[in-house]
Amino acid sequence: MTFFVEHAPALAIAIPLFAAFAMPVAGKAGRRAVLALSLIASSATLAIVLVLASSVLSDGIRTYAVGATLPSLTSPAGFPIRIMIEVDAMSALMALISAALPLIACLYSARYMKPGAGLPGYFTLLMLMTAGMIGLVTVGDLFSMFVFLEILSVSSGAIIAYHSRRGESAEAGLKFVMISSVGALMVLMATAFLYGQYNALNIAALAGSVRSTGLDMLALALLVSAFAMKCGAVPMHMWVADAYGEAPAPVSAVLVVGSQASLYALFRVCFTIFGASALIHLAGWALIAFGVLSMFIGVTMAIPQSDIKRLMAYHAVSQTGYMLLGAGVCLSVIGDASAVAAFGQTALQGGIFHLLNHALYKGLLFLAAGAIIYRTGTRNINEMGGLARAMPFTALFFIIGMLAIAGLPPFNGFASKLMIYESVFMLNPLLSVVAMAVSVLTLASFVKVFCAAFLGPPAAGQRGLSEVPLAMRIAMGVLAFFIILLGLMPGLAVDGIVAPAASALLDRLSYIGGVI
Amino acid sequence: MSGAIATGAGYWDPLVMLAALLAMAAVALLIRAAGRKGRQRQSEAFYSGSPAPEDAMKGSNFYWGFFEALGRYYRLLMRLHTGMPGDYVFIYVLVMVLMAIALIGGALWA
Repeated sequence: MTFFVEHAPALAIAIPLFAAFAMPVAGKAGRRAVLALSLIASSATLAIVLVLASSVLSDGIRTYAVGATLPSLTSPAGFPIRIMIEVDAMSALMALISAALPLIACLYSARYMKPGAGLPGYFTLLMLMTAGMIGLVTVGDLFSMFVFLEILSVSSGAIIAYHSRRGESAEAGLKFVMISSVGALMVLMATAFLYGQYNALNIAALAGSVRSTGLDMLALALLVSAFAMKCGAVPMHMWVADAYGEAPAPVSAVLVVGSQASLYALFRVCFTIFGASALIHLAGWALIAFGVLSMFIGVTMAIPQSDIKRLMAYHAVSQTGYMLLGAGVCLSVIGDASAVAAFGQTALQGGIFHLLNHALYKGLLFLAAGAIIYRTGTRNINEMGGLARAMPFTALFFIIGMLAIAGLPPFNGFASKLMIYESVFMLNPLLSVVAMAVSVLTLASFVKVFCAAFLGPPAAGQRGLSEVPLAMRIAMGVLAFFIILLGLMPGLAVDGIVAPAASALLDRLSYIGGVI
Repeated sequence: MSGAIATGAGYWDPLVMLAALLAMAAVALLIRAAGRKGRQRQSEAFYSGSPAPEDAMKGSNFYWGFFEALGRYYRLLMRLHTGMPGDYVFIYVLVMVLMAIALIGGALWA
């Protein structure tokens, strides 16, 4: 047990990575072996991440020097030289989300994905995505962050194009890889600028060194715009509808977490590396602008969609806006300790809590959309109707996800949105008004989908449909359970992990002290 | 208590709201119990009292007035969403350049 606790930071990345490369071998033994390996590997990853998160929350930041004689030997000559994994409460929260959703996706995929020669490849890519996400949110140096960002992007691009016989899927995968490559190049360039100036790649070392020179600000602009694009912020969001819309439904749920991993990288860069910069409030206002645009344009683009997955993809853009708004408000006042204490910290907590909630309800909604597509064979809501009678469980799960994303009490989306509304109001009431109006439009959009798909008479050719298989219902049920749990007991998440995560982002010195 | 959270200006306790909802549900059930017995159950979907047509209202018929009122806004949005990857990259690079100008300008100004 001690071994697992000591090496948990490395094992959390190594297990899905090993499973990814073992998957083609398991494929030789048949479909059951592939499914068993994917479920065992993702369960083991989640278990290790739970151990890691528990040790971080009880004992503080965990650092792990890869390849050192002792994992704790972070700075052998007083300076960090190795690949470093550094896990604070924010990283732990993100790692938990990044490990949990792929497990749900594997369970759902067991019945959703049709048996075929491509199945080992599908699970290989899903495991690579898991490794990429956990690596991205736990590594402690910028270059390794770039490497894991690339692992995540390449595997995501390939799995988006999984149904390559559909021309649209191949096109969406190509677009995703193209825009991701440009973004990753900018991250690499910014890393080079910072390395050239400070001779360091380690995030903690950079956090202790950066000033506000022109080159630093150029690096900040490259990093913020790249990670904002990767998380789907408007106006750089256009790939989201293509990618989420064309990926297999369980992959769309994991892609949401992939975008959130990029959001984590954005927060880490702004709060930890550049948190003490005199001009960081400008980046805060940029995040607020991205947030407001994402919320409003995302939801107004969602309403006219008739493809159920594209509609949900635009809602994902809109919800990302809330997280950007919460974090942006905190960042815009980060130099003013009284403002941070009065509302900045709550805004950041609201943004982080919304991130957790969004992973749950957007995951559930994508899985519910997948269940509809699985039975009806169409993604066009104009060709659906009366499904509530044939698929009562799916209808129930859809209602739970719908009410949560619309921010209706007592669901979890309401709790995080309320934190954002009230704290953001103290900076500028107009921001709260926009956020609340967007929630109303979100509800309107989902009422449309629910009425069109689940109510009324059955659509032509859709009589005699039945509920989806048990594995798919269990996967949706687990997410619905956590949505209701966090809705009824939001303090459980806020006090347990969200508040420590927000404090970890604001407390730069602890992060720096974890390595140096 | 794991039910409540501080929200900045106040607090939110969903369990209190749940208790209120249950109380309202009890009142609703009491009112229902006082209603007329032997009501005929509705068995088929209907629109405004008429039998539902086979070609019922579709998802894209919703909010027609909303789209009409915001026609210019939507035409602009649709023009921007071209689906061309070259445009995606152009917009991304444009945002990056604007951010760089603002931040470097700020650094030089300071």
